Amino acid sequence: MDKQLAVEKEHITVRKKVSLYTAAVLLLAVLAASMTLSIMIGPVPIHPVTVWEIALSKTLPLEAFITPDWSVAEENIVWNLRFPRVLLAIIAGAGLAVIGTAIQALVRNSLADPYILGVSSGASVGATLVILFGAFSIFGPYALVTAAFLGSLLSMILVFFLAQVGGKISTVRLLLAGIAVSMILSAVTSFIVISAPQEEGIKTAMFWMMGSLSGAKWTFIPIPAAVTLIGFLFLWSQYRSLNILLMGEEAAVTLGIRLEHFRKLLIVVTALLTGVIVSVCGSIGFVGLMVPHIVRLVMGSDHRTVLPISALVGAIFLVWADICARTVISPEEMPIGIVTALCGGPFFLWLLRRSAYSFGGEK
Amino acid sequence: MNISVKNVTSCIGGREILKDIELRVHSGEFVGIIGPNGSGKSTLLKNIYRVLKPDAGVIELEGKDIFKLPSRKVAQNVAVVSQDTPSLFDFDVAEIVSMGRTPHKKFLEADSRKDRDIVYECLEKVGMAKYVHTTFSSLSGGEKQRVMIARALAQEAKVLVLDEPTNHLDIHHQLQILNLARELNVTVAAALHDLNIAAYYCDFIYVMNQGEIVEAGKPLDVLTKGMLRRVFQVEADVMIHPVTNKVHITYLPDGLVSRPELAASR
Repeated sequence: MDKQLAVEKEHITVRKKVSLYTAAVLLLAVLAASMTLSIMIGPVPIHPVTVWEIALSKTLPLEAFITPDWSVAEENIVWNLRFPRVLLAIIAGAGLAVIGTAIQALVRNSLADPYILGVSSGASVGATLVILFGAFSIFGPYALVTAAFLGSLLSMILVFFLAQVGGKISTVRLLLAGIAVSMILSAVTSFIVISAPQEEGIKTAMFWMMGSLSGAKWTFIPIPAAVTLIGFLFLWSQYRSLNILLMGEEAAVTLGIRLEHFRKLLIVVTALLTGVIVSVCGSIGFVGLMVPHIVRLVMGSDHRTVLPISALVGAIFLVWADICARTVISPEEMPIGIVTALCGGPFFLWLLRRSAYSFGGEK
Repeated sequence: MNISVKNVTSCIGGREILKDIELRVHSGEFVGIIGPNGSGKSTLLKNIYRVLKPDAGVIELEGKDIFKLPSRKVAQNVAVVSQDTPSLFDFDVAEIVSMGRTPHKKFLEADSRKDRDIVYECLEKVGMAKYVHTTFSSLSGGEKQRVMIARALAQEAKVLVLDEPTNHLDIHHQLQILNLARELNVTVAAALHDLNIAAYYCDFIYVMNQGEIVEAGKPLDVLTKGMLRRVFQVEADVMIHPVTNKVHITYLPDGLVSRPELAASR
C-alpha cells in the first residue's frame, strides 16, 4: 500500500497533459518556420537563407561574416515590407489570444472575446473618420492609429462606468453594456461610411474594419510590441488569481483575492491592450475567441500554461492567416479578418462537435 | 484563533436577513449553527467569510475587524467550504486543490515541492488521492465536495467555516469529513442540517430562527423537545444515546407542528 502511494505521489509532479516546456519549444520552432515562410512568399520569392542573412545583417554588426548576395530591392522587400508585417501578425495574434483568455476568465463566459468591451467599435468610429474625412490630420501619418486608439479608449471608459453599480463591477452588466455600446458605435460607423464622399475611401474603411496588416511599417511595431509584452507578462504573473476567478466570486474572496480591485485592473489592462492592437491593424476577429478554447482543450485550464501557449498559437495562426490573405487572390489582398473567420470558423465548429471539451459549461 | 460577531445586521434586497447577531467562536472550538431553511445560517457565514458585508456591527478575527485586514491575511487564517461547487472550465483535481495554496504564495512565487506535498496529503485525507489528475467536472457531487474540502485543508487555515459541508455526501463520507475537521484541532464554525450530527460533533450550538439567534449553549442544553417544537416545528423524542453518550433525537413524523408563518402567508 505504501509503495503504491509512493508511486502515485510521484504522479503529482508529472502531468499527463503536454508539459508547458515541451509545447512552448515546439510552438516556437513552428513560429520561426512560419515566419520564415511568410517572408519568403510573395510576388518576389526570396530564399529562406537570404531572409535571415538580411535580418542578421540589419540587426547585428556582421559585415565580416555575411557578404550581401542580394539586390537592394530584395533587401527592401524583406526588411521594410515583409518583416514588419510578419512581426505585426505575431504581435496581434499573440496579443488577441492572450486578451481573449483573460477576458473569458474575467467574465466567466466562454463566448467572450477581446472586443466584448466595445473597444473595436470605438476604434472603428475613429478610424473611419480619418479614412473618409481626413480627420485628425494634425497627427500626420499617425492620424489613423491615434484616432482609432482614442475611439477605443472612449468606448472602453463608457462601458467601464456603465458596468458599475455602487462602485462594484457586475460582469453581466459589463457584457451587456459592452454589447450595447458596440451596437451604438457600429451604427455610428455605418452612418459615417454611407455619408462618405468617395467610393475609394469606403473600400479602405471596410478593409480596415475587417482587420488588415497591409499598413505594417517599422514605426508601428515598437509600441504594440512593448504593450503586448508588458500586458502578457502582467497577466501571466496573475495566473493564480485568473484560475481562481474561474471558480466564482465566493472562491475568489475566500482565497484572498481583492476581487473588485483585480477585476478593474483586468478590464483596464485588457482594454488598453486591445485598443493598441486594434488601432494598428483593425479588428481581426476570431483569434481571441477561438485560440484560448483550442489551447484549453489540449493543455487544460491552468492559466500558467494557457496564457503563454495561447500567445504562441495565436501568433502562428495569424502569420498563416496573413499568408493566405496575401496569396489566395494575389496580386489582390483580402482583409485578414475574412481569412481568420473562414478558416477558424469551420475548425471551431468541428471542435464544438467534440464532446470531450465542455467550453466552460456543463457537459 | 477566535471569531466574534458583534451586533451584526445584514440586509439583502431591502429585507433584513440577520438581526443584531451576537456570536462567539473560541479558539479550537467546534461551533454549530442550526436552524430551519431560510433562518439566516448561510447569510451569517457569508458575512463571516466576507462575501457579504454587514450593514451594521463588526466581525472580528482575534479582535481585529475582518474587513480592515488585508484579504490575503484573512485567507491565510480562514478557509471556507460552501454549499455549491462550481464547475467551469476543466481544471484537474490537483489544480483545484493547489488554489488553496494561493494565500501563502508571494507574487511570482512558483509552486514548490512542499506545496505539491501538501496538496497530495490533503487529497489523501479526504480519500481522493487517486483522482489527482482527474478532471473536476467528471467527478460526482460528493467527490467534488471532498475536493473542495481538500482545497480548504490546503489553505492550512486556523479557522474552518463550513456551510453545510456534508450536503452531497453519503453517511460514511459525512462522518469522515467531520471527524477530520475535529481532529485538525482548528476552530470550526459550521452550519449543519443534521441535528444528530450537530449533537455529536459540536462543542457549542447556536440556534437561528428568522434571522435571530434564539438559543445558544451546549448540545445537551439546546437540543430539547421544546426547542425542536418551537423552532423546527417537529415533535421529537430526545435521549442520551447509551453508546455515544451524546444527545440523540428521534423525530416523530406524526407530530408535525403546523408553521404559523406559512399558514399566514397562504
